[in-house]
Amino acid sequence: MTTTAVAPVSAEASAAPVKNYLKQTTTIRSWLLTLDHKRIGVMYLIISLLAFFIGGMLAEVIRTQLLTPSGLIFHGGGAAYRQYNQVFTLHGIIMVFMVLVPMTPAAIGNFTLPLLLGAKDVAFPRLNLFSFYLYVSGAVLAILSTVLGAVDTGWTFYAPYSIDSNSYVVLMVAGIFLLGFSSIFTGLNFIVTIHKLRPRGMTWFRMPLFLWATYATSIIQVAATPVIGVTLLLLIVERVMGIGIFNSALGGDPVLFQHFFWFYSHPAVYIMILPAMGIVSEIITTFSHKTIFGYRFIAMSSLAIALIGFVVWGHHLFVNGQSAELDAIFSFLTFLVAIPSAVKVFNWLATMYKGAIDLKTPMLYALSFIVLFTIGGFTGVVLGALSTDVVLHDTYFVVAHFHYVMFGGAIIAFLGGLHYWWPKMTGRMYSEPWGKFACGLLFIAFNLTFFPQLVVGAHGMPRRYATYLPEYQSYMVVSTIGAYLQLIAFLTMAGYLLHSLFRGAKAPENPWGGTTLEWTTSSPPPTENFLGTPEVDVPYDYSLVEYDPAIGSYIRKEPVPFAEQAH
Amino acid sequence: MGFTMPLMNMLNGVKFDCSRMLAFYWLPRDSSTTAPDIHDMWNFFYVVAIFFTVLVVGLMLFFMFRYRMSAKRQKADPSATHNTALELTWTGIPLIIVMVMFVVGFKGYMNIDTPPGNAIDVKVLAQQWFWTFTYPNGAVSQTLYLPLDRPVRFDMTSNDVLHGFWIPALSVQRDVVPGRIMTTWVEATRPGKFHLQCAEYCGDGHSRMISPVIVEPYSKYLADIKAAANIWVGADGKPLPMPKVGEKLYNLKGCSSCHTVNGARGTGPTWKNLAGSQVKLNGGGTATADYAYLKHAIMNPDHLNVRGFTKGVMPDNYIEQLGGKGKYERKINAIIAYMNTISKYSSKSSMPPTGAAAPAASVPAAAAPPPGGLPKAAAADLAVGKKLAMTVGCTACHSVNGTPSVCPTWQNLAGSKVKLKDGKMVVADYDYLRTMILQPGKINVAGAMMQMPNMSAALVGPQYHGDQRLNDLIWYINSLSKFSDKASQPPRSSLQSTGGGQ
Amino acid sequence: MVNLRIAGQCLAPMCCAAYACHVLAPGQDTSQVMSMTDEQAHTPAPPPDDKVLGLLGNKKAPAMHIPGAGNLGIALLIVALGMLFAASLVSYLVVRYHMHLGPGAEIHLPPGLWVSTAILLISSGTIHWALAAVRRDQEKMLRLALAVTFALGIAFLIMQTANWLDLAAAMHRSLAAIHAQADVLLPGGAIIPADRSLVQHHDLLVLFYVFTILHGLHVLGGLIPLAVVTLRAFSGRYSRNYHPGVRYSVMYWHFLDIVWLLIFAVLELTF
Repeated sequence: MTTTAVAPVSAEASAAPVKNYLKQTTTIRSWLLTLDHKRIGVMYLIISLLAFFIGGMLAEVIRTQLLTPSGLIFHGGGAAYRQYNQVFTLHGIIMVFMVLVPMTPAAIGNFTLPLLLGAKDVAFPRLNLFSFYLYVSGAVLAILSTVLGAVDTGWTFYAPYSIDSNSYVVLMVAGIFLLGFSSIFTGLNFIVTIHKLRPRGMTWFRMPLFLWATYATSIIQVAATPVIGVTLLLLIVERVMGIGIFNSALGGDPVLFQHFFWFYSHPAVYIMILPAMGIVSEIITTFSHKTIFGYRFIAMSSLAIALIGFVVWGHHLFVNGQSAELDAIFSFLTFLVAIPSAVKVFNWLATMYKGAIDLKTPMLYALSFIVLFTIGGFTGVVLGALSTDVVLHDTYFVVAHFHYVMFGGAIIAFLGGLHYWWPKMTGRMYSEPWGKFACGLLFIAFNLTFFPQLVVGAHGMPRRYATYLPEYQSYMVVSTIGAYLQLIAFLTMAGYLLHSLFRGAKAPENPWGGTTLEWTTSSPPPTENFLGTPEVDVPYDYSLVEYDPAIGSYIRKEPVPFAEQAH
Repeated sequence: MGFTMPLMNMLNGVKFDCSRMLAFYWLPRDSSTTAPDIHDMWNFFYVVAIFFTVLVVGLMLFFMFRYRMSAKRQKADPSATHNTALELTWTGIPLIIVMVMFVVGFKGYMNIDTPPGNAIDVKVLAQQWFWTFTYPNGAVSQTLYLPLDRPVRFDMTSNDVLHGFWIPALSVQRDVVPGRIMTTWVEATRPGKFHLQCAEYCGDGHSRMISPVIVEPYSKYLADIKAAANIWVGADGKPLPMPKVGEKLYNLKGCSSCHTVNGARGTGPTWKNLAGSQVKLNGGGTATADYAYLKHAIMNPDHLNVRGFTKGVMPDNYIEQLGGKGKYERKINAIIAYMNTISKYSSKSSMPPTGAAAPAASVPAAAAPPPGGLPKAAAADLAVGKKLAMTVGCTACHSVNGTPSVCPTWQNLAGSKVKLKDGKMVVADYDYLRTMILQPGKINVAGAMMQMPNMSAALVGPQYHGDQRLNDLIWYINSLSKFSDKASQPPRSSLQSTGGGQ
Repeated sequence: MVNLRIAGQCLAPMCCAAYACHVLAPGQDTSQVMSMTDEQAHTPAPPPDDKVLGLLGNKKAPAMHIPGAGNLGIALLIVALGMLFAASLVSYLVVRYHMHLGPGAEIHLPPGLWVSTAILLISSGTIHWALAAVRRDQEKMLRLALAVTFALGIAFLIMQTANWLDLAAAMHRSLAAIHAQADVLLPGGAIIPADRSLVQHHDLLVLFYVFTILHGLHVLGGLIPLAVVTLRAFSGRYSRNYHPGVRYSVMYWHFLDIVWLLIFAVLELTF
């Protein structure tokens, strides 16, 4: 019936102050060699935010180039266009492999997963640190290849261009190989953690929904990532040894590469979006101060998305000459994957119904997510339909679609999660008005950027064009203005978040009124997370928390020990 | 076409009012026969998407303000934590809708995927970074001419990497994959000038890989491709200078598939800096690549003896390919003129003689059919068979004049005795030749260096009038053999040309 | 020479796999394992410094034994590696399916592969024997079985190296043959069909090397933790009630065995 922590931390514990995880030790070594999941999560966060910044600036370069039909920055001929191609390739690689895949699962996931479980750490802390360094070394290799001579293959590395292309593809691919292994080990770690470290009372169907989402994500990470490993390995072998696996000139089959690539990369889309949905589930119930509606449907829809997501990859190949039967099967399965997503959206709305909705910044992000993800989802549906895919494939419509899902979905939800757990991570409150302003501006700027791309794509503008036909220009200009506004929104965000680190008000234990376990420990948590051993009952019971204006925080009404609860 | 969902009927009813309004802003006007199906799908999707987006966002906004937290509203109202029936409903309704969408989308796609049988065949070659179109009359152009209201089938392939054949205005897209023949089709219903854009990323010049597409009435189309077939005039109708004509021929006649013009190594020697240079010969010694040498090399490639290059690779039928007696000389001169423009060794002696057509001296007659009881009636089929041997690719490996090559020569093959791998001798009669061509795996010839590819796809089938094409080819092989007899010739009843196999 | 580069490319991730086994397997070997109960699993964490100092600061950190976590971790690792090998075999089969190998220039698999297969099969038996021994608390038997398994693992790698060298000559021949025909291997791509079979035999050879080396690296990655486990067995760390390292090694080793049988069968049937 209730969620209970046996050992209330803050008030009593403050008598004998326990140092939080940030202050425990301060040497650089203690950070770099830490086994604490929170510190590893923070390090992931810093590096992926850094990567996000670089990727974002590359996006601004792309948008600036496309202000004029003949290109504003790179114009004149092949060599200039190649530079543009390198820019968008790098933008794609950074955003996909270094930001989207690790950001939510590895950064947010690492920080929150044991906290949500009431555990002291993940199951394999050393493996966790090892994954982090695999991630770093993969990123370093990728940067090295960029510094030495940049790849221009597009993030998809389609053969045979990636075999012909005279650039540092091998190095880049090796870097992504390592990033993939990092992802596998993180997924493995999380699965074992969720299986083995749930506290007493937390049955599978009492887990917070973010854990369900992470669990589904981890399954994909473990089972799909090795395939891209092999694909990239074969690509390297093919380049180095000059044999024909994917290279048609040597008797290989380029379409085989695409099958392998998307066998991973489509499920990878769900690696990005599933944890985002988990975050949104958490935020919506917390800020509606109401139990999540239809817990089991939301939990199971995460698993359904993960499992169906394995068998839809062929929808990237509709115009690629695979047989019509395959096209039909993949189209059918693709439509199926829309269902669990729709269920989630309806359940979130039902959660808001009759709630007490507190429109704080994280909630605004979650609501933005619902709008943008709805648009992203629907544009995905029309791309999954065979006949319309023929006129939309490889156009800006696709570009806009996956930005609606990946950026409007995954990144916006990540930002929501970042704001949601920011007080827990840093122990500081950020400025609420600035947070709302940045969120609103980002929402407007986002639509300004990508909605025109939907239109111009339907008109027929192909993607990955350094120059374009003049008739598309007005859309491109609007899109670029939106991109600049996004930059302003992100800079604002960086400003107030950094400001809060130094000047922000001290965060209370439970500023939002959340009922999951992380809100029962101090902000920031001590190194061992919980001073006692938490036990839980039914999740999301908001009758147990109430606002205490005196300390500006939510408090638990009556922490009743589990043992008594049971009777 | 025939199949329409009841729901689509409803939509078709409102199409007059809102379909344009819905689709016109997004997709280009329908200008091909497949576009209406696509637009129906789009409209259906659009109505559903707008409805649900408005529903979701509307509910969200309503809840946001209706249930907003305030001093008075600190707690959520009690309400159900789940309602299985309700949740199943909103699982089921989207499921039904997307299944309808799937069917509608698939229906439109079937039309896109299946070209009509009476389509005009245009061959499309994609390479970094331009498109080349070959029309049924042999014309080659960089502009795509399409007849109005007639289906056109595109057989596409790529010379290097992936490309995407994408004409937004005509709602047709298909990837072009190297090593495969990709097929799509279109029947344009609106005249105009459109763009063909490369949709699949292909490298530096990707965004410049755009070709004009001209949809025009059939008669105008015929005139245009006729003009394009004329190598002597440019797009503006004015006569071209000789080197330009030569360049056209270079691309048109297959020279470009083996000879590069940028100095890169190809199957044959590069043409860059060839004219006037010293050519190294096998077994030491050099020759000057002057006009006489170049001309001889084109006409009699099997006499070539260039160091580092295999004999017998270059087709020896260029006299015919260039129009036959009386027509080829000017064309050879044009090609040699073109070679000279890209050579720094170019000199007077390597240039074609000025003035009228060069003397037709020392032209060996194209391999005369050897004696061998060939029925006169087969003569028509012979020409067809010969053409086939060139176009299907037989002559890439099989020589027709006895020159040893990677594969058995066709000279004196038909009717002769062939030694098999297991030591047996068989007669190369009609059945043998036929099996060899259609099921090459069944016969193991002694000393063969490679497995012959199975040619059945290119030679037999309803589109080639059954066996007709194959028989034409076997007639041709017979014509090259002095052992040819009744047993090695196709049945007489097959004496009826396929008309060039087109 | 070229193979070395490939090996280098594979080596990094494979070492990772090896290290992962290490992290997973002996990671549970804390000093207080002997009578760990569920109760103790939930005792408060050790003094925070242990955990914060991390890897170098405290060799034993964190003192947390999670029953069954190691097994599950190894099982998931096996799932991931299974996908890796499955994908590589599928790619091999697809490539092989597209080939039309003609007569002539035939390459035969070295007969030494049968020997390596036998070695690996036997080692699978011996490591199972080790598990049986530790379950019966037969310490001498355990040490012997582990040592034999380790030796067999080394023998397998030696035999594989011999096999690789065996085919090196064929590799040279196919390379030379391709080079001899260099003028038909165009930069633009077109090849005269005559050389297709040579090229394809060469492709097959390279794929043979790729997959056997991939497997060999996993064996190598398994030998490192196996060595640790063997050494621990010799120092008497394992008993009937506590032998996670042995269990993990057994799981992983059987997996390697099955994968090898699959690879070998596929190669034998299609090469």
